Amino acid sequence: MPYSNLPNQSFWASCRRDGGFELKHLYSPKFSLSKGDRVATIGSCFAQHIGRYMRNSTLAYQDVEPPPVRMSDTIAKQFGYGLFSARYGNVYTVRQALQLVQDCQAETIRDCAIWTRGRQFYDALRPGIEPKGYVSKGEMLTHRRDHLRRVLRMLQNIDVLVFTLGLTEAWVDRETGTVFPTAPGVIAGTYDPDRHAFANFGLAEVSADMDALLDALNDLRPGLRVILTVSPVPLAATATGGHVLSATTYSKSVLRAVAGEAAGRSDTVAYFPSYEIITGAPFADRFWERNLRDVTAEGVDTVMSVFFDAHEGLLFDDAEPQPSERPEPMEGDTSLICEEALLNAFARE
Amino acid sequence: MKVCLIGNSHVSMLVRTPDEQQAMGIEVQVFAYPQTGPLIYEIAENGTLSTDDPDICAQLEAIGQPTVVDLTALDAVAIVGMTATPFSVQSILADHMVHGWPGSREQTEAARVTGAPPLETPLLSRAALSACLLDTIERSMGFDYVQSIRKVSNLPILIVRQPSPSERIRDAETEFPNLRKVSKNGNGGLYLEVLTEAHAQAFRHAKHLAILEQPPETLVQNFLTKVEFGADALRLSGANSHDASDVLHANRAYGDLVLEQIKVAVRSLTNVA
Repeated sequence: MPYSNLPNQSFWASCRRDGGFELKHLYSPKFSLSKGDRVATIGSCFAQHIGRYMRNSTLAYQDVEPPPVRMSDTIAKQFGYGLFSARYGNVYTVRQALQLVQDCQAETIRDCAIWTRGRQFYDALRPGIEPKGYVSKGEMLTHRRDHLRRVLRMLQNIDVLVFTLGLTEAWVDRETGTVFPTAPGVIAGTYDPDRHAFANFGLAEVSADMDALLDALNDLRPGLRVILTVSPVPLAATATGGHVLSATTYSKSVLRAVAGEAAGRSDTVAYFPSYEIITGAPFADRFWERNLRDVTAEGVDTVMSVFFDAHEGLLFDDAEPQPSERPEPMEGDTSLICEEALLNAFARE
Repeated sequence: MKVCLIGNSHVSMLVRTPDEQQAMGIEVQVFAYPQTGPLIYEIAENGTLSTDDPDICAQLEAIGQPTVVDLTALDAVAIVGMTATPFSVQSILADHMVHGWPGSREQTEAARVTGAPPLETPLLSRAALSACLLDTIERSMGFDYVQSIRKVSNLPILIVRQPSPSERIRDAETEFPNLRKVSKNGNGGLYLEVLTEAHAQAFRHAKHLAILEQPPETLVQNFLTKVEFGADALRLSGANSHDASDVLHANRAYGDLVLEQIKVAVRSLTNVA
């Protein structure tokens, strides 16, 4: 019988009988990670949690744009330091990640991605990392160019990239196809319907973007191991005009499917189930804050425990953030920097 | 006019004998401790500033000053030093540089070539630098004193920034090679500019407060303190001068200019009040 030799975790009833729903068997690494492996993180807000744990492991976590030594943690976070392996800000969509890698390869500076607010200039491709903007266009462009070169060098030298997929919705420059992490006008820039379009990437588009991204990464670093995961964090808002729950379901379904397929096609691409752990029905709302959007510290701990239990011996014994260091359980998780959450401000009371 | 000087060793440039004070029309009380300033203090609701720290008490007694200050008997308080200085800017920029500043020009020009490597010195935006400095000031003892005083009193407060280092730092044999580099690469004026902006930002909500800029006639290169305003600067004890190698402290000639600034500012704030 085809099912007779399957392990307990292959059966819902068996998992249900287990107090932890067989969580320990949810993730079987496709490839091993070793002490000293150079690992980088990129992606949506949830990737910031992953980076925080990676920093506290024996993996060689990469940070190619570290803050000044004397900058406080609070200021550093406000300016996008230490959130990911470089100051690319939140990379929500696969298209955005692909665009970043391509821009690094070609040193592309996009004119449409120079936004202003008042007299300040903003890098529209990472507007959140300079909340007060740049004092001149020259300053912005020099920062952008150097950022691309640092990211390129990083991608050429890492062993593992952990990419947390966040959204399928994005705002696009109609003429160039440039995709932005935030809608024009939210942080800076001006929304112009003749120039900016809303896009909700479909399964085929995201899949094609993922293939192109993985090819580009492999060109830069042959044999690069990629771990894909899907952020469990729901959309803060949808621009589809539909219900945010449906939009979230659609977005996460597409991303989960693409990640699974990409992992299924390659020995060097793996899928890690952050999404399942937090959103899975067996865990109900256990890992959610009251707003049912922010993940609790326990949820993050659980996700990362599954990861590091599977990759044994990488986490320092005392690496898990102590309770006193954890963000207070409150609505609107202030420990993460998420431009997307700014969209809440547009909601009618 | 009675003013209490709260600060660190830089207070010494403003200390005068009773006769000198009378001649200048300003009575000065000192509440100071070297280096950090008087870290341990309490301000009671009745406006009494005091400390029970034995080291600070001993220091104050050694210079003939009481350990208790009645804020209600004062015309103003001057916070001397104890905020951010050119050294604060230098430490933030120890491993970063700011686009558009003279010291970064060579590297950023070279980086305009397509395919150039990442900059040897990473960039820090002007806004991030300002935010760092603002944070430094808001965590400083000077800021702490302003907040504490304002809880009990509307007394005029003057912020007397630490003088810029002496132009003698340009000599190779003095300390602070990094600031020497700054004086050579032309960034110095911008150091003072960002400091001025950050102080203004930090104290923007404090009423009856004035920030006294370094008197322009004491500056060279718009950055360093002229040699003649640093020579023979006295220690806080007043008994002797700093070592000949000292490049941090200003002397009485400098202090005279600041005391004049204080008098003008107190009158101005008092009139406004």
